[in-house]
Amino acid sequence: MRSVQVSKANGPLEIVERDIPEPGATQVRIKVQACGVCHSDSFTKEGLFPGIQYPRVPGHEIAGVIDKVGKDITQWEPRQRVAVGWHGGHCGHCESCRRGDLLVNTHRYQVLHTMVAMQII
Amino acid sequence: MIAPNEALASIPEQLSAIEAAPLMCAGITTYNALRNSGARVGDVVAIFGVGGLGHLGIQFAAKMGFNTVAIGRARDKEEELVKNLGARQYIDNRSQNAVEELNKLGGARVILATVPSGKAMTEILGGLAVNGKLVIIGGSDEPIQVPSFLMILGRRSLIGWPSGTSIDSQDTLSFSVLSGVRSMNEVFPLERAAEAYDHMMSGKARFRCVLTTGN
Repeated sequence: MRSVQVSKANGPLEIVERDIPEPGATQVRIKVQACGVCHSDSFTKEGLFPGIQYPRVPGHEIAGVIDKVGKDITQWEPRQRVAVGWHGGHCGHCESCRRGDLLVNTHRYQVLHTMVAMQII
Repeated sequence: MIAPNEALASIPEQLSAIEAAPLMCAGITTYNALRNSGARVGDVVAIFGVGGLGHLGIQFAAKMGFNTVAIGRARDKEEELVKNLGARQYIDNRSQNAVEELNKLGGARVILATVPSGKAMTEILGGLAVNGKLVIIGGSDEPIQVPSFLMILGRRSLIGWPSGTSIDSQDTLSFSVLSGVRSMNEVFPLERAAEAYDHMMSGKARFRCVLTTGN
């Protein structure tokens, strides 16, 4: 799949080919149709998230179509149109999640917890 | 791309992918900040900055029933633009004193600060009404200087607001369909991502850059 990737902090946006990933049990795979370019993509491009790892595919304004669902997914199915923003998932068991605050959590700077840089297919 | 199921928002059939995408950060952030701001129908709500966030904030504020004031910097035909987006009043922050203009209206119940400048946010604080709130959504490393008596005597406050969860995203999409709010976009193919990024960072985009994949 074609992706736009940043290989290092402050590196350029490069077009690369990456392997098409398989969704895990509770994940879906999305064929991305459109992705907004946002000022906060600079956090990813410039390496401003503590602990951010590269290479990384920026983007958090995503719209597309589900093309495969994981084995435990019951509420979504292929061909449904979906969008994804900064909320890239939550664990459900940290203190913030247990208080029902899924976005602003105690792992605020753990990029993979709620703020996931997204890939473009 | 791969996403966890709890991160997904359903896109209504009335919205194209290009229309939906910019609502996932610029849209949800302005919509969710405004609906949680405490402002009530008819209150003066100022949208500070007419850019990617601001042009959506003006539309959402107007559709939510706020007395919407847009504060900009007199770029090409900005007054006409913001009034078409639903603003009742435009303040040109270069030729006018925005604080004085807001105070002529009794002050703002909420100022939605989209401009990424601590200095600009510092200068606008005097435009808050009693119980007014500056809601910060434009990120900047520059500190905001807050006069303590202004805050104490008028019970004024500042808060920040980060986008929202996936159901907030879905609410943003639904409300956009209901109210006709749309992002104004410049569309680029994925191969021109670097150019789109530079254009966005230059501040010249009118107003959001959106990449398309051809999928």
